[in-house]
Amino acid sequence: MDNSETTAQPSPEETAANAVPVQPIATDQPKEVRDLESELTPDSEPAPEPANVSVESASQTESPEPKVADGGPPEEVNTIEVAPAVPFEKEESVASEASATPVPTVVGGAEPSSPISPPNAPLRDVPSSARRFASQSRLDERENPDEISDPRMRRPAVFEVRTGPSHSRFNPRQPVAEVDPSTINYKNVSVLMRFIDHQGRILSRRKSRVDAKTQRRIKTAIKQARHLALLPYTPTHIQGQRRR
Amino acid sequence: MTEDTRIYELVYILNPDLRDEDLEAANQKVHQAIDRNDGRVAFENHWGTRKLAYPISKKNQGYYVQLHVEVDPQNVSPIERLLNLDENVMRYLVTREPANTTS
Repeated sequence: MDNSETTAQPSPEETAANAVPVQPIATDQPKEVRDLESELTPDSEPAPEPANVSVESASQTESPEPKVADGGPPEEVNTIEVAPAVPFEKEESVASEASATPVPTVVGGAEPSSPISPPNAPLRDVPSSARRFASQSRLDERENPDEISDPRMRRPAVFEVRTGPSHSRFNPRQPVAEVDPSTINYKNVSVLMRFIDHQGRILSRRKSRVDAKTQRRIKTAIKQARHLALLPYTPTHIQGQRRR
Repeated sequence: MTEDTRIYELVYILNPDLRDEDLEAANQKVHQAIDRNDGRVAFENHWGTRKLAYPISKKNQGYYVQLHVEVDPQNVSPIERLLNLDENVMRYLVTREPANTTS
């Protein structure tokens, strides 16, 4: 709501001009835009949120608007016209071709306003919804790797990130496992197990990707655990255990 | 005796092949070694018989005991010496500042 109010404040002229014709737009948009935007909102983009909020507020306040007309609520309604312009500009990186078309339609809906806006409303909805479908599909592709809860499935994505030029030994992007350093001690075998390979060797810092302090703790803890036969020293220990 | 005591964590592995009373006697022997060196057992936790990650003196299991001992730092090495001499103590580890007691 904060964003919608801030976007609404600079446009009092539009409220005065559009107070009456805004009404059909508000009724038209929730049907299509709302469904799309409700799916869009989890994408964590800051831009679509104000539009979504304003649409909801408009749908809630549909009936009182014609009576009040010039009061506070129409400003919120107007954000429906203003708010889409904001995401379009910000999403240009996502879909550049679409950014050209919606902006003029918004201007056409806002400033010539009163007589023309009812025919404009459906025209404006079509391109906006179409490109929202397009951007949504791309957002889904982007979003999917984050939704996979299985860490093994996420590893390849992490490796892709690491292949960039900024990859450096001292730029640890992702530890092999998120570990609270205070939990590292020789008794916490389940944690230490993640920092040894299948041969029982301690993972190097290049592989473990923890900071130096944590790596020292891990190193000490693993060696202590080995002394107490909580962890193996060599792969022959592992094999020997399997044999018996 | 003196105020210069610290809390150490002592984990040792006892021979699991002992019968229960012998195991208890071996454990008491460790406690006596601590008492003799003016140590105080602040915490005792028996992990019990566990599988070893590798065989120690041809045994695949061990009886783990975890202690927190408050003792003068100078008396740690005499305790360690007694633990070394004890045949039933297969391994031991003394660390300062007992960390979180997990598992």
